[in-house]
Parts: sequence; structure tokens; C-alpha cells
Amino acid sequence: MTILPLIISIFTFFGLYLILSISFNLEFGYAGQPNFGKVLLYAIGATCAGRLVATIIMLYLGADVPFFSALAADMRLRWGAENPLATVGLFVLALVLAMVVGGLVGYVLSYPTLRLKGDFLAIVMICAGEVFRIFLKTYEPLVGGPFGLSGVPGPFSFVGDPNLKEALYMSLVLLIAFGCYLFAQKLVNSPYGRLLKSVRDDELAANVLGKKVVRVKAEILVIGSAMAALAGALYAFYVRGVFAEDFVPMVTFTAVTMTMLGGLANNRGVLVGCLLLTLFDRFTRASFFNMLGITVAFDISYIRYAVMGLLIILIVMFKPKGLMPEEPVRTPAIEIAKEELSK
Amino acid sequence: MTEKALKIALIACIIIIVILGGALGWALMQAAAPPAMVEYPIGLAIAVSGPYAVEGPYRRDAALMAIEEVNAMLERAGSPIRFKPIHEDSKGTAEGAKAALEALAAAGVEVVVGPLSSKEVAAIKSYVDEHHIVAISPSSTAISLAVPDDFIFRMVPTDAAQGRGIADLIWYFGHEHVAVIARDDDYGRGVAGVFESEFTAKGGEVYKIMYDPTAGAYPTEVSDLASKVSEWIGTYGTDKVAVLIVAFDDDGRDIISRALTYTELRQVHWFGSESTRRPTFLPPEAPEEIAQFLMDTNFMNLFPTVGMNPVREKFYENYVTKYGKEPTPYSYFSYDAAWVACLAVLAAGKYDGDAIKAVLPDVCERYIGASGYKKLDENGDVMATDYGIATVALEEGEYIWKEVGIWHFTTREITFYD
Repeated sequence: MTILPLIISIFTFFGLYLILSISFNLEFGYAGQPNFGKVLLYAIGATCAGRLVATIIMLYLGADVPFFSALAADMRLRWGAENPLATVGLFVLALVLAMVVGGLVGYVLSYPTLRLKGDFLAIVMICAGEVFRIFLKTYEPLVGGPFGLSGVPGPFSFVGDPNLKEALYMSLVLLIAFGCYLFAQKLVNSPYGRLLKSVRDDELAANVLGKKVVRVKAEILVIGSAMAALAGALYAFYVRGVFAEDFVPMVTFTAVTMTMLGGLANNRGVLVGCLLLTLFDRFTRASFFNMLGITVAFDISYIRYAVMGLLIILIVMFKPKGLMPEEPVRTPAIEIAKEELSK
Repeated sequence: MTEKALKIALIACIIIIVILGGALGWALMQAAAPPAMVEYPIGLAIAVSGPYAVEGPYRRDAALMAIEEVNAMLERAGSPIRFKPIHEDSKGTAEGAKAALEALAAAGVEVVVGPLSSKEVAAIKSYVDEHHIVAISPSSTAISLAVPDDFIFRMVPTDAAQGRGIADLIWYFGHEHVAVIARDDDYGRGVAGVFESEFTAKGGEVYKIMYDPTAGAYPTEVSDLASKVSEWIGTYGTDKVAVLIVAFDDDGRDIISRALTYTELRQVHWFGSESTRRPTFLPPEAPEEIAQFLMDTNFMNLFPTVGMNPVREKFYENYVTKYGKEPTPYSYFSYDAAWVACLAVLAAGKYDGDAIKAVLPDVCERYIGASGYKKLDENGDVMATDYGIATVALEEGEYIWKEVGIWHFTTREITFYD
């Protein structure tokens, strides 16, 4: 028995969902745009990354085997292990491509936000995610349709020890997630953060004050979407493939729940929410109880889902602002104002 | 020798005797005491939610029952070895399967029964290969996953055999135009794809309707099916037309309950994939109208079989007694997968993925279980066997699946019992 696979599982999942939740928090928590199509961007990121890497490797190999077969997947993984520099290069290229495409799609998504608000916008975004999932599943040439595309080598494919390989990848995901967190903190604790909040709280007032509301909405959706696509690309390298059925609305709702639990418009809260829900998911598994020497007499899977649902209800009822409610924007101006007030 | 020296020698002798006696006694006690118990975990990465919310628990229960039986056998033999099942819901998704495998790996699992679907197996393949964890899927059938020398083993033949068998069966009845309504997932595409290529190669015509299994209701697809069948009946007559449904429980029942209302769909011969041979299509789990429709349309499906054997009968009886419900066809495979997993650990003599992988083909070659002979091919998949042909029959007021014939895999011949 080793605890390492569990730690890797927890923190990789945490890192991926932290990026996704922060992107949602930027869009909804700070700018008031309910982008419930998070999974759409997540799927786009994964598709771009997975397909790009798999295609380049197969073109290089020139092998005459079905692209989506397990045999081809094995060949790609072997190639990845034998060509570390090229694999790292492909990884970086894939992340960049995913973010660019994600950002462009985010810009396109900003158009519905001009005409739709609140629930209607959220529904349109959920539908957009579902449309893309169904497209991925039905259009086989892209990622193998319902069979999926496997054999996408990660940047540490050359590392022989599988646990070390996955631990390194987990560290990289955490590093990128932390970078996203710092970026988001910097962004919202700046005059731009105040601008986002003004658009969220009163669009008309922001307009009257000469702020370009439409442009701000587009910008934040581009940023949030690029981040979500980045999470999707990292996910593709984590599972070493792209599977259409993974991109269900539940992905969005998980990120939303994490954000709600932590606290809307509070990135530190989102961090806490992500960590708590990830730990809850992983520590309420039969395997974990077995590690502790506890035998659960019933199938704990169902209890876990029920408790998760109950948790969401309890948050909405008793902690609608989350565990860490919204804080004022921490710009130099507010610090000066605080000093002045304290005099 | 002085008296003092004698005393010292005597005391030394006593000490040596005591030490030797103690050591001997301890050794004898060790030999007589029962050996310390050893518990090996068997991972069950079986989805019980999402697309497998209905079917998954049946298969999980069958695997649990197999492990219980192995433990009872070991207890009777006085063996210190026991197997401990650890179930993780793989959710029927790649992400869920990967998370389940990671959790099981952390719990020290070296052999896993599952996952169920091909897309889940594809998602965990590189993980189990690298971590040297043996995964025995009871129901993955995708041809694309047939790879030699990996850590994936499959207890059911690939879609190739089933698709070929259905094509032969429908052609046997003289139907030349077949409307296929199939799940748009790895399973549905696999079966429908092989069927289409086999049937068109015979000179038949195929019209495919692929539906999203997560949609829940399929009025448009059934309407489309009825239109095509109606058009073909008008052109070729009812004898030349047939319908093939490739569905699971909820989606299959929804489609059939909607098909009831179309006269043209009741006029033609219906066939189904192996996944339709489930008790969930018959009363009391389904409305009587569905069973009656299946009888009216002479519904037939194929399922890998070796006919009834003592293991199968015993499994059926024990399962019904223990759980108060009938096992689904894939429960038999799940049961065998768990038995094979335990036997491979015992044969390996140690709990190690590499050792288990090495002996598994030999264990399977000598294993005839509830779902038949489990000899593996070079890819670690069960070699294709004959398929039983079943239809719905009403016997003593009860609707049942009744085997009426067999499709021989090697000769591609069909034999009906009556």
C-alpha cells in the first residue's frame, strides 16, 4: 500500500478544478457573467491539446495503424518516452494553442452576453457545452467519437518510474494553478477588478461613468475561457486522452459548487472550496477507508453523492456567501482610504 | 574442580537448557499455531452510476458474491488467505475510471475487476500498464482495445463476433433491409458498425439511426425509424424488412414503448444486441406491453453462451437466493472475472501484478465458469465462442428469455432447437 497515488490524485484534481473555478469566479463572481458553459471551454482545451499532440506524433511516425486504436495509442506513448525534448515542446505548444482557441471562443461567447442576462445566459451556456459534447461524440474524425482518443503523452513521459512521473505532473499542474491564482488575485485587486465589480453590480451606472461595459465583458470572458481551456489541456495530458463523455455539465457544476462553497468574488475562498470538495470526494471512497483499516458494510458511493447534494442545499440556505465572503478590492487607493479613516 | 566452579557450571547448564527449551517450545508453538491471516484486496472498478446506474449494481453484486465464495472455499481448506473486495464507482466515464484506479492503487490493489465500458478501459490502459495492475473487464468489447501483452484482460468476446452473428441471423430469415436504432456510444457504434459492414457485404441494405443515450426520451428517433420501415414495407414487403435495436435498459424500454404505437413497426421482425437480453425488458421490471411487443415481433437476440452448465445454474440459484433478483447476462461475466482474479492470485503464489498477469492466461485456459470457457487469445481477450439465440416466451404466465437456437462462431451456421 502506498499513499502516493492518492496524494497525486487529490492534488492533480485540485489543481485542475482550481483553475476552472478561478476562471468561473472571475467571470461570475467578479464580473457577473454566469458562464455555465465552463465545460465547453474545458472540452475545447482538451480537444485542441490531445488532437494536436496525437496528430503530430502520428505524422512523424507515419505508421499505418488506425489512429484511434489502442495500438496507435501505445505507439504514441512509447514515442513520447523516447523523445523527451519533443514531448515537452509539444506540451507547451498544446497549452498555448488551447489557450488561444479558448480565448477566441470566449470572445465569441461574449456576444450572447450582450442580449442575455442571468438565468437565460446560463442556460445558453449550458446548452453550448452540451452541443459541443455531442459534436465530439458524433464526429469521429476529431477525437474518435464515443471511443475517445487515448495515448497523449505528457511532458514527463520520459521518466521511467510511473509514480515519479505522475508526481512531477501533479507538481506542474499545481504550479500552473498557483500561477493562475496569483494572476487572478493581481487582476481583481487592481482598478480593473473594481471595474469588473461595477459591471456586475450596475451595468447602467458603469456605462454612464464612461466605462466600456461590452468590452469589459468580452475581455473577462476571453481571460476566463483561456484559463478554462488551459485546465482542459492539462486534463488531457493527465488522463492521456480525450473522451467526449467526460465533458458533461457536472464538470461545470462541480466548479460552481467549489466556488459557492468557498465564496463568490473571493479567490482565496475558491481555493479553500476546491480543496475541501476535493478532499471530500477522495476521502469518502471505499479505498480510503480500507487504507485506514475500516470496512464499510455498504456501498459508500451513493452516500457520497447524497451528501454532496445536501451540502449544496446547506450552503445555499445557511452560507449563501460561502465560507469566505467577498472582500473589498485591495488596491493602494483603499489602503490610503483605510489609513485616512483610521486617523 | 572447586565447589564454586561446579555451581557456576551447573547454573550455566541450567541457563542453556532453559534457553534451548524455550527456543524449542517457541518453535513448536509456531509450528502448531495457525498461520497468520493474509488479506489480499481485489479492486472492483465497476460503475454504479451514470449510464450503469441500473445494470452496474447487478454486476458489482455478482463480483462480490464470487469473492465471498472464494473466501468460503479458502476457509474450508484452512487457508490463511482471504480476499477483500474494495468497490469504487468508476461512473462510466474516463475521469471516473482514472480516479477509481488511482484510489485502488493507493489501497495497494494489484488486480481489478472492471471497468465495464471500452471507453473506461481505454482511459485506464496506460495507467494499469505503467503501474503493473491487472484489470479484468467483464464487458468491454471494443475491437480497438485488442492489444497483446498489456495488463488489460477481457472476459467477453469483442464486438466483431456479435456483429457478425447478428448479420448472419437476420440474413438467415431472408431480411434484406434493416433499420438499425443504436446507442451513440462506444458499445452502440461498435456493434452497429460491425453489423453494417457484415450485412452490406452480404448484399443487404442498412439504415442507421444513432441516438444520444443520455437524452432519456427518443420520440424523434422512433418516428424516423417508423418512417423508414414504412417506406421499405411499401417497396419490398414486410418479409424483407427488419429492425435491429442496440440499447441498454432505460433507453431500450423507452424506444420499445414508443414503437408500440406504430403499426408498421409491429409488422416487421425485430432483433436486438446482447445488451437487450436482460430481465429489465420483461415484467415485472418492464410493462407487460413491452414483453408482448417483443413476442409479437418475434424479437431475437444473441448472447455468448455455452448453454447451461452446473456452474451457471449454481450461480443463478445462489444469486437469486442472496439478492432476491435475477442476475443480468453480464453479471455472469462479472462473477467469472472476480473468480479468475482470485484464482490467478492463488496460482501466482504472491500478490504482485506481474506475477498475476503471467499466470492469468493459464488460469483462464483451465477455467469454465458461469459464462462459459474463458480461454484467452493472444490479446488477453476471451476467444470468441458460440452465441445462443433467445426470444421472449410466455411460460406458466411468466415472460422469460428462452434460448431457441445457437449461432456457431467457427462455421457461422445457425441451428434452431425446434
